[in-house]
Amino acid sequence: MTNLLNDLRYALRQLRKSPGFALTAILILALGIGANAAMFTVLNAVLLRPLPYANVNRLIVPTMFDNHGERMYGAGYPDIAEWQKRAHTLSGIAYVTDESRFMEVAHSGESVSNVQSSANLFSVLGVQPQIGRTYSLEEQSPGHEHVVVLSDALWTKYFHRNPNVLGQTIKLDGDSYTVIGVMPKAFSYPFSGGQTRASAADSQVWAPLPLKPDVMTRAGFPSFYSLIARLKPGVSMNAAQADLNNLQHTIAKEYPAGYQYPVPTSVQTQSYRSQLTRQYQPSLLVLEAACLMLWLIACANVAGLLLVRASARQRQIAVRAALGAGRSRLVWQSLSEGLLISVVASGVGIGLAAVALRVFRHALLQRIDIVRDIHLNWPVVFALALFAVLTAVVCGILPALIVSRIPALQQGNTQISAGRRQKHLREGLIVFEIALSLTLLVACGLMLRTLYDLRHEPLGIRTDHIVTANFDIPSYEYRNANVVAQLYQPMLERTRHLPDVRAASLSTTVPLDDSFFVQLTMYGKKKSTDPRNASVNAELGATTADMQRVFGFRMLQGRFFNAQDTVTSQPVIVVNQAFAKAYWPDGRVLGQPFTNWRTGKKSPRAIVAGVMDDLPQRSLANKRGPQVLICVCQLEPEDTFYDVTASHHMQLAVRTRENPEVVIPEIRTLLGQLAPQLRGIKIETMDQVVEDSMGDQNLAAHLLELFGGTALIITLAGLYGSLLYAVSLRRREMAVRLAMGAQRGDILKIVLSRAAILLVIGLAAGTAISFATGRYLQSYLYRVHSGDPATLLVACLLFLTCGLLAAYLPARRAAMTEPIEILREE
Amino acid sequence: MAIAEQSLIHIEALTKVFYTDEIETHALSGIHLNIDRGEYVAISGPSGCGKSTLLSILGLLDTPSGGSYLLNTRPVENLSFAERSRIRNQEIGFIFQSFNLIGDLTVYENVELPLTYRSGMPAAERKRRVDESLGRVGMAHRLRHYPSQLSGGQQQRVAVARALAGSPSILLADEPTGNLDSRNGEAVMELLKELHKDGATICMVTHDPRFAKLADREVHLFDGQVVSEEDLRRKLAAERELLQ
Repeated sequence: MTNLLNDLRYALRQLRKSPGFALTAILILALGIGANAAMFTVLNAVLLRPLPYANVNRLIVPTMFDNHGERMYGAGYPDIAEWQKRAHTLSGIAYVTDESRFMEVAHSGESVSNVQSSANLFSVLGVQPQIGRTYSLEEQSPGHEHVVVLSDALWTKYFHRNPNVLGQTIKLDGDSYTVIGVMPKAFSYPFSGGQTRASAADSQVWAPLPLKPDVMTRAGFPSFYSLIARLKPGVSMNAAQADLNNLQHTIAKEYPAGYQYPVPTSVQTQSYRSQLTRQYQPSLLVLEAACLMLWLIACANVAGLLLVRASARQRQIAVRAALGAGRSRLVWQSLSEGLLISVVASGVGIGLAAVALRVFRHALLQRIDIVRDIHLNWPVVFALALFAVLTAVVCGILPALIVSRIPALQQGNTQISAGRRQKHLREGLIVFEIALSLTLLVACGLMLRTLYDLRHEPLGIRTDHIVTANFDIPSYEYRNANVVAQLYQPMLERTRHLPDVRAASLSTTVPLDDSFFVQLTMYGKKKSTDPRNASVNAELGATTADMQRVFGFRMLQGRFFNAQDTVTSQPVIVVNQAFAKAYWPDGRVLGQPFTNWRTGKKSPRAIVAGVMDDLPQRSLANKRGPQVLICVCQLEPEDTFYDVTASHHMQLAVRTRENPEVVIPEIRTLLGQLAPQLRGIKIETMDQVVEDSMGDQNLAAHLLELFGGTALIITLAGLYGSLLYAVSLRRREMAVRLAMGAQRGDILKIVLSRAAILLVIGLAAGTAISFATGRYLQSYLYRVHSGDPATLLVACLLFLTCGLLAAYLPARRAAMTEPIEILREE
Repeated sequence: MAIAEQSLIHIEALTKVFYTDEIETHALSGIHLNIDRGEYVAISGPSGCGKSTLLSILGLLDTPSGGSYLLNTRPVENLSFAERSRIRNQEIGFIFQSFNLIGDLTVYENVELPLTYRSGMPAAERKRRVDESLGRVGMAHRLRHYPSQLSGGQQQRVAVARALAGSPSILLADEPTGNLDSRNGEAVMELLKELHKDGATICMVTHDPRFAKLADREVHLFDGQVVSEEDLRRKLAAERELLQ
């Protein structure tokens, strides 16, 4: 032990004697370790964090598919009831539905997530309330369902954690509910750890889902519920899937003949944790792989530096061996230097990780909405300690092997060259670094191309001088009223009269906003391309006539909505080109009849008034799918589409004359005057919406720029250092070559050609790695393939140029050797 | 002054001064030397007398501080680095005390090395010359070996072959036996003697009087000046006396 400590002290002394080497090695490793510490922190927060449920690995989410293989948006109660009775592999299955409602307590209130569920939800999740009770099956009977369980955050906010909350009354959309319990602090279901949607994160209430007679039969259009189930102990996911599949197969046969809606015939299961994280898992793993590459590059670089030091110390090591030092002692001595460097680098790396997390925190939390906060914690530090040891071993193993093979003392040598094996090792490390760095550079290049393409994508709309305000309708206030007449029309009128406003429109969705959308699915009676008969699957939007003035998009045929489109005029729709192509491929679109959305009225079917350009929908990178627009001014409360479009969510879009930012306070004031609940809503410019729609790509591109740039610099520094060292070892060789008549250019060529060979081998290997790993990046890319030859070529040329520049200085030093000075040293 | 046609090297009043930390060191002070074609000259003298500096200037590895130097009747004291390199490659063959073979190159490649810096020489011609040179020094059977696989004597033979390969006008040997045992040293001296017999011009620096005697002519250096053998003896004796 004393010897080991002595060796550590000796290593420390050696590092103090070479502060330049120590600083370089520590900084390089710190970059690699810091990137991994930051990324591991994110991974830990997203993929590995504990969820607030008992035995979370036994929680599964079954998903139904119909006989055409189409995914269904939940399951109907009759099927669920059968599963509850007949599934052998589940200890419980709960069903839920979730909607936003306005909660009132005394004289205050806010929008909350109201989860209506079966009574067994809490037992399936394995969680008890911290005070009170949860609801019972009896409370699912219609008329008994007005009880509610609060989240800890709401209890704290409105009742100051007063246990007397039990029995008190709150209102949800104006209906009274009795508080019967409060869930524990960390609990949420559906799980929502994020902070970007504050109302969903902490403000949840749970109430019984009333089992009304119509949901219990297969008579009408089924109500779909989300499912969460718990596996019986010892049952695997595959067994559960097989069990549920068999069961659903049998249940499907029991559907009544002539059932006119899709029949669920098969089931797929996945764990609840993976359902929560699947959206983020691939991208986080890609970024973690990039971090690991950076770490490997840093390790290879430091290993190269340690190798150089081991070579320089060969004689000293041979003396130690001659004095009786065993091989293990020599190896430990070599490793101890790497260990010291790695430990210090880990400390610096933690600091770098903390800075990186602070810089990227906002962007990360914006993109990962199941995470509330991301910060370094003890599990990360513990993992980092292991990582430091691993780093020391990875960096030190090659120099240690070299040390262990150094023969006993040798007399002066008369040849001019470094050990061939060490040279090959050093060069191998450089090639390895080049290959991995190129992989990162190519990934970075692909992301930059994606961003470029996204930024230059013809949007089909104008985004300048536009402000958008995004808001949920306080629907309970307009339950018995016409929200169009009472809220929207006055809102548009008053907005249009604001100074600086050119035009204003209301739409359920504006291009590039993903906060709300309605998918319209109409099941046709037979396969047909005529929408009167065919199944229709399109995004449904409701908008006002000025939308075209605000966004300035093109009409390809016919007209957009206008002031003459009212509740008393012929109902019209506007479709986009994708819809027209899908359903009327012959191009005869105008005047074609669509559906009749006026329930209970003898009203003509809506007809197509115009075909508009395909506008970007939820994000720039998403394919522009079929879209149907209806006119808000043609909607009345009793219409089929009124509830799903006009009464939930709306976006005000305003075209301004001058800087749009100036109008934002005025719009905020106006909306607050119209409805107090709209005071704090998000208002932003359209340019910002466009920028946000590239958020995933932006974040990935910035991170990969950082990793790629760092990798390039580390690798070039490694190449420079290695060549410089090689040149210093070959000084006599160069002097002899010059004495033999070599010109300075010949010497330059020798060093540069060696560098070029290393670069070419490294780039070839990097190209192969890029091709092999590129598919993992494909989901981020837009209009560029992961094997894009142009990007690869540019990255290779960039690397080659930078590499040759890095090699030029050592080469020049070699070429400027004065042979007589070296030879005189004889 | 007319220079005799057979004169290969002709230097007059050659000086070399080194400046270090404001101290002037006169390594060579007014050297006059003539070496004819086919001549075998040994430069001898005590350590620090300027032998190696003179050889470096003769080999165009260094430039004189003053005086004139004609190589093959051409003044070479003020040439550019590139021009000196070209002449070194074509006119001069070096044999170093520590062989200076390149460890990463085979015997064949080491010998071929100076020819690769001669533009336009076809590979076949290079091969012919390498084979011939190695044949002359008796190392043709070790073409594929690396220097580390050879003895010291063999390495110096390869170094001689390398010096010969370019068919230089003169071989400059700097203490060629300095790193060899006496048997190998004598063998290398025998080789130089044979080369001289075959017509090679050789200028050798040595401090070993036995090997200096093998040359046609001995040039004695003392304190950077050429002295007669008598003078050298006298000066050395005076120096010893002073030390005692």
